[in-house]
Amino acid sequence: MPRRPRKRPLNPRPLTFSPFARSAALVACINSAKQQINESEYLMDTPDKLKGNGHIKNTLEEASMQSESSDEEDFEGVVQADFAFFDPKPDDFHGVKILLQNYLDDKQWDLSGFVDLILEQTTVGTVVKIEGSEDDGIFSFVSALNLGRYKDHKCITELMEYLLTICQEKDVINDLKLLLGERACDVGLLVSQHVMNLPPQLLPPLYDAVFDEVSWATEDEPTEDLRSSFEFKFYILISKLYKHKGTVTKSKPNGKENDTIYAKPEDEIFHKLSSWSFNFPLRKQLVSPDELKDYRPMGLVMAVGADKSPPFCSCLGSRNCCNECHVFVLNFRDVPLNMEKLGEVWWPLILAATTCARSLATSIYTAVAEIVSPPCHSTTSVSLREERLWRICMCLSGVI
Amino acid sequence: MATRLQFENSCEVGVFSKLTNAYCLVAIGGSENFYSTFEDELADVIPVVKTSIGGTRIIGRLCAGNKNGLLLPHTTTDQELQHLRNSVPDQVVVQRIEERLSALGNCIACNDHVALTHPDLDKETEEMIADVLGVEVFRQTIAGNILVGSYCAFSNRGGLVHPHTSVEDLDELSTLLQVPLVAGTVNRGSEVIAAGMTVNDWTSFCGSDTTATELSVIESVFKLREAQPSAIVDEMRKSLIDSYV
Repeated sequence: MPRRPRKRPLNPRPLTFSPFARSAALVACINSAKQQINESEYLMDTPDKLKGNGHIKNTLEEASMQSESSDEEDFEGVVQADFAFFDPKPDDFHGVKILLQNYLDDKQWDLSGFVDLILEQTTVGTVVKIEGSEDDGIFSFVSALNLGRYKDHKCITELMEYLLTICQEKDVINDLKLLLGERACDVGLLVSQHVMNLPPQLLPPLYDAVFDEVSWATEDEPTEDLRSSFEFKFYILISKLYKHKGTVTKSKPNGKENDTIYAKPEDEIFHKLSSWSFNFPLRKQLVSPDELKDYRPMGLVMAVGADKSPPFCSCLGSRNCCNECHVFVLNFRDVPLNMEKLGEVWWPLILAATTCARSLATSIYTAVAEIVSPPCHSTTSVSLREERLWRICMCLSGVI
Repeated sequence: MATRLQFENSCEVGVFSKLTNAYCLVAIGGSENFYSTFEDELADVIPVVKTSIGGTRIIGRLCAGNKNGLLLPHTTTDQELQHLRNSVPDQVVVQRIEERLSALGNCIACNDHVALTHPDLDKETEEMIADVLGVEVFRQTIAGNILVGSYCAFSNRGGLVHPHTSVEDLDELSTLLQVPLVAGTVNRGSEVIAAGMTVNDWTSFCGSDTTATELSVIESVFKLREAQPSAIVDEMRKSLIDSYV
């Protein structure tokens, strides 16, 4: 585990998952409060399995994420947020409905019925709210609905119809038809939405929660039918991404120019692990931030095998430490390297980066390599360890 | 009769439309379904006008009107103003007013005789309201909320207010407005009444999430079940005075 980034009054960087998203989000963050993560603790209550009634009470609590403002910014004060995970309740109707407003682009469908389905399924599904707040705003929710179990509901039939209509890619449409038709009973629709600025530390426990609940439901549901309905072989996800418009321009000298930005960061991991996926154009005019004006929003539908959920969770979890690695590296970019810290800092960083997604890892290695500086450019005498570090970074980043 | 409908998957019908006894305004850009639902109910009786206000679609919350007049915020463009003047019936006075609180639909709730306004509205605006709309103006709050235009909807026959209105407030308002009032919700528990529905003397349009209970409350308080448009629009109110000699 790499050392957590120290509190530094330097230019803070926003937390994002891909290098380009980072620079895009940075522009957006310029005028907002600077936040630094001092500590985030994960408190997990041991889930008590109540074998009798088949319901699993799973309350994961995220301790406060403290942020301090720096001197130059307008926003003064500490923002403290205690997020808590709850089972879906009928009262959450309006919050969940707002999050799902553009789920199927501009199609008029039975959204209320869909939200009702999600809220009725209390065994699998989690809603994230601020603990103890009266206004009950929903920040995020996740659920997995078995398409076969609910296929007679109007909202699900409309949803399946919509997917079949918008799929323009011939090689994928047959797979899609199979999953929505004969194999619908093995397919779960993984519905997950969160507000754009949800702290990324909440995502790993959120997804752990839903996948755990699915596996517990296969054992704890009262009837055989219900138990087998949670034995998902595939998950289908509907989401959004932003594709770079126009022709690919000349590549920038530093960092990788990403031509795809994902609306939700975990989608990038899902996309990599997916068995198949397709994009579709969005008809609704959505307001996109200035930094994304060169990007065209598109819908994304993907099918992920259920066996991929463990690697997904571990990748997502390590992303958090990758985030911190990234922030750490960026913070140290302008500071002369203290070679005494080599053992404590850089090696653990490299090791942590090996668990990250390829693009992120590469940028971390490149950044470290730049900081360490190659032997030929260095004016000071270079130790063997330093050179070795540089070589390894260059190899890993694919330069050598 | 109360009708349930949606504007582009949103149940906030009162945001995208404005219904009075003399005309109906509908936001542009929605699907034809939305527009045609209004047309089906109202086409023969009153004009249904597609418009935007200040380039936005939230027309229901930006303007306030009744059968005598229509008040528009200062953000209305000249073309929109002209379009509205051309489209509504001649007896309706269309006036653009300079008021800092430009969401007039949120600040003013009115029927053909009485208006409730935001307590902080300018004196000038209050006079304008009394003049253009031909109503008596009262500065009020509803259940402690100053946005009276959002938290209540009333017609000449009845009214629906914020669910947390106390009984005393309800009585007071009812006396001011001279119509029966009921505290209730729309769109499955939403407290923002006027955003979720729009009403006139014989018909009402509610968001599609409105439950059957809410709909029956609306139909009973606004007396929509027996209402006939022609009798009211033509203003054939014969005052029958029976004198027994």
